[in-house]
Amino acid sequence: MKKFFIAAMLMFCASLAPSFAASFTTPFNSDVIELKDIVAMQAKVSEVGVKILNKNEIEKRTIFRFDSGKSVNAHSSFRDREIVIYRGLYTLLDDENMLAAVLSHEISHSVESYEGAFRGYFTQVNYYWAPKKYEYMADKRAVDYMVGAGYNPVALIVVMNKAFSQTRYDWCSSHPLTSRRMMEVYEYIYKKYPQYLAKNEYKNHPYYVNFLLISKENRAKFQHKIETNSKMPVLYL
Amino acid sequence: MKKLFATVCIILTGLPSIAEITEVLPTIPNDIKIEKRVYIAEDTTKPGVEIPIRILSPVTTKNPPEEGDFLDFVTTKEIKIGNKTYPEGTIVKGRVETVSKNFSLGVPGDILMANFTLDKYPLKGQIKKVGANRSIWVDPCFQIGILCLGAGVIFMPIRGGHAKIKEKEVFTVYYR
Repeated sequence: MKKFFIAAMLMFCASLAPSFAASFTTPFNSDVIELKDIVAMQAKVSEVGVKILNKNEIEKRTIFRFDSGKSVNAHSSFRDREIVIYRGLYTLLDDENMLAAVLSHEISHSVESYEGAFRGYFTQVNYYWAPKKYEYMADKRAVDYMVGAGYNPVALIVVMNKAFSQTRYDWCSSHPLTSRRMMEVYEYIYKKYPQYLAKNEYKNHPYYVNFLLISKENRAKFQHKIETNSKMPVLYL
Repeated sequence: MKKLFATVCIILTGLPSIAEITEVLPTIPNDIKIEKRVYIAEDTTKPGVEIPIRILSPVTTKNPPEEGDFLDFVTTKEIKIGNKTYPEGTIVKGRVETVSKNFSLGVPGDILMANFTLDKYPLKGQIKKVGANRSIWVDPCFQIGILCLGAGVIFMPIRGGHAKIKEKEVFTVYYR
């Protein structure tokens, strides 16, 4: 009986330690990095991260860490309220807007980690059972945080298209299909911050042009929704 | 020569599809401008004018409003901002920021409102409502039940609560 109880407890505890990675662990080959470069990148990550926190008046404490690891990844630790961005992902970012996009998404997870019973302990359970719901929410809050801090939210679409992989299906994945995420973000910006699309500084960015190319079908669905004034959510591909 | 010809043909057939990339852009009012904010350290600890508000008609994630919709709130007492006095019942607009529905295994729905405005004055503060988080007990029951010949699946259909903003609830936003 004791063994059974211990096994049950272990399974329960294991379920509370999911990884909330923003992207995926693709190997990234690069040379040895110098300390001064690490210091410079850490300074940039902290500067942009704290700027987002302050400008949005986020009253929850979060720290930012740059990791020189090669994985194309960033994650938010629920237990430590620490946001880690890896060099593999950092090197794919073209400008400060894109760094702000990644950090804003993770900040959204971090803020969420404070909510609920036992200082947010049980929010982890919700994340475990409905991760996609929280990923979509984090994307949308990231857009708000970016606008609040003076960044261009279209960069979130660009960075997703550039760095996040596209799985065949998302049934067993913690993250929705990247093509869906990009369209949800696009729809959100279109409705709430149309000025950023009307005067789009990323209009000629190769990855934004590529997004327009790959999202023709999805954008047609969205335009149909707009034209018919429908309130039904669109199932993007 | 054949290869060159084939390459030219491929490029020519590919060009129209690239040229077809068009984007239907949203129409925006003329008064909306993209402003690059300059970062300066701001003292955000200053106390502001407290504005108690309540919603005019209740909202729930069962029939959720759209993200970006503006909902009407009213002030529950007289407010003074500068020389101007706003009587009780003055409309305060609030924007729906994010809405998400409840899920099985006790995951609650939630709604977040922010960007409140009173007579074009932007107000600080937000309202976040989360439904009943039933995963607190559904999750352990499910996990332990799974070990007992898979009986935990009976807990799967239990959904979390809907988030509601009720008419009687009073929230406080700030002007500063």
